[in-house]
Amino acid sequence: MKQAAKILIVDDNPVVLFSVAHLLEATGFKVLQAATAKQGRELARAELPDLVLLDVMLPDQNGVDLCRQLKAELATQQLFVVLLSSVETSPDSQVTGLEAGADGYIARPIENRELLARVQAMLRIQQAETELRRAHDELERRVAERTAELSRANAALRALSQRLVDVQEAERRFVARELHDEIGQMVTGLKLLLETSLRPTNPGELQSFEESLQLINDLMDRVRRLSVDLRPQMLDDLGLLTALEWHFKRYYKQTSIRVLFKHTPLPERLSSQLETAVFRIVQEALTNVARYAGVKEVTVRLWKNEERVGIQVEDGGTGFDAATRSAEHASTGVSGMKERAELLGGEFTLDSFPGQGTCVTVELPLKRTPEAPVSSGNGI
Amino acid sequence: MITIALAEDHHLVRQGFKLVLTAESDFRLVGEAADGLEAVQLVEKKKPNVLLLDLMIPRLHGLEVARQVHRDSPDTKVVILSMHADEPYVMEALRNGASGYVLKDCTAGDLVQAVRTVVAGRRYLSPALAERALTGYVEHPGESELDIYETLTNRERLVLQLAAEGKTSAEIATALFISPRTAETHRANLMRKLGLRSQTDLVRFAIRRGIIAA
Repeated sequence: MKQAAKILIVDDNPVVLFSVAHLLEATGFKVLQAATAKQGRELARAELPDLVLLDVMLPDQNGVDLCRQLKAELATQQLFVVLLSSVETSPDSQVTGLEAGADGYIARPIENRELLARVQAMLRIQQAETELRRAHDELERRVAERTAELSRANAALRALSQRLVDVQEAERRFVARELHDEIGQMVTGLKLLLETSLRPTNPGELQSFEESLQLINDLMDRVRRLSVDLRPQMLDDLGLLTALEWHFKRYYKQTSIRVLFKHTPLPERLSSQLETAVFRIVQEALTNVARYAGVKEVTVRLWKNEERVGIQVEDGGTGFDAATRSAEHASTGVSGMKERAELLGGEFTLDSFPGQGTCVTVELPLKRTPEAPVSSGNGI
Repeated sequence: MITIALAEDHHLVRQGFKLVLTAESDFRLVGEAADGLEAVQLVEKKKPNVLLLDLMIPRLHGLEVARQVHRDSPDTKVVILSMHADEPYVMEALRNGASGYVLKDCTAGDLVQAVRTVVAGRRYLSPALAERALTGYVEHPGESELDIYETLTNRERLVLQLAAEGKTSAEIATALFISPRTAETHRANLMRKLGLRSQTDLVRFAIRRGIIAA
């Protein structure tokens, strides 16, 4: 033992108090003495002894009650309390004592040698318990540390994913613009030049000339479509509502599915990141509707309040069991929408049931809340 | 004689347009600009009959140039030159005071026709656009103001009613055969959608909507 164990004896009988104290001190323990429950309580709180030997019969308070009290207080609940009694030694009273939280019960009369052996045994138990508790605390601390590390890593991963999404969008925006404005205009200029200065007069050459013009028109169409598929410039130029309405018309032409669009007023533009996210989510959801829902009409709702912008795409189509088919639908854009929403700190909900249609709802905060501070040292 | 100013930053396109315009004996090109600010100043100075204006011109957006020219030099007709055949761009351009909208991949004849038409005081849209305008509006999808209550799912509507009646999440869960946690999620979701912060807000909303009696 590195340090002498500290033992508190609470007994109103001065003879017992003296003899037990003497016995324990002679063995090398540090002994504190109290003659009343009140003194015992105060010493227990102040000194936090390793072991409390508590007489059941005290003048001011029953020892069992004092024990219950010590075990109820945060500061003293870890104390190792042993009840001592010379009178109430029936099994019943022992049970009462142990139920009060006592860690041991010693019945008197008892020989000094046995008392000493019992005290040492109790101390060993007390020490084992302390070590166990320390190990447990250490474990908790490590778990907390690892959890903090993990959430830091997760935050970094999220930041990285968002960065990836942003970079991809920026890249698409650039290529779309380059295709449309630069390559598109060159082709246009080429066509004008051909038409105005190179138009042949010879009818034999005229046909292949017209064919060349047609090729140029086809090329122009391809370039334009490619540009729009990458990213509609309208989203940047004319804003979210216009771009969505335009997309719904294009969607109708391609799929014959009508979009019923309802929205709250949106007088100001959202951040480019949010506008892009909303547009992409709607695009993805509508693609899913066209693929799986089997409907002629779909409702898109868009709303904005002080804190969030919300989008909902609802169809009354085939639907699916959202609980069991998640894996299959994970590959069909649902996971993409979910990820996009979560990256921006938003909420994603998918309601679907076979035969009752599908409803995708996404709500995104207008202002990105900073990562929750990583708690450290919690639970130590 | 029709005086024309050309605002177009793309060299090749400008060359092409110039060729088309100079081929007309009664057209006179009075100036060229390579960006939006230059275009506004050019019109100020030369007061041409027609400004041929690239929509995506740098420094000052084509739409803004059109707006300013229409306001400050109403006698100059603006014809937008654009790569965008999409209706919203056309609508925006006309709303900002443009008289004509010509796609850049038009034929030489279209461009000449556009200039003559706007000088005569009429609007001109490229043939492709005019056709689309006729068919496009028929397909115009329905659109209306959103009532936020619509965004609630059936489940959320039930939960709203029960919650407004003062039921706890546990009671709601029992009534709807769902777990208390699910009931709690529905409740949080619907409150977020409706922008409600407290039980009082929720009850007030429910009364106002006639979901529960006052």
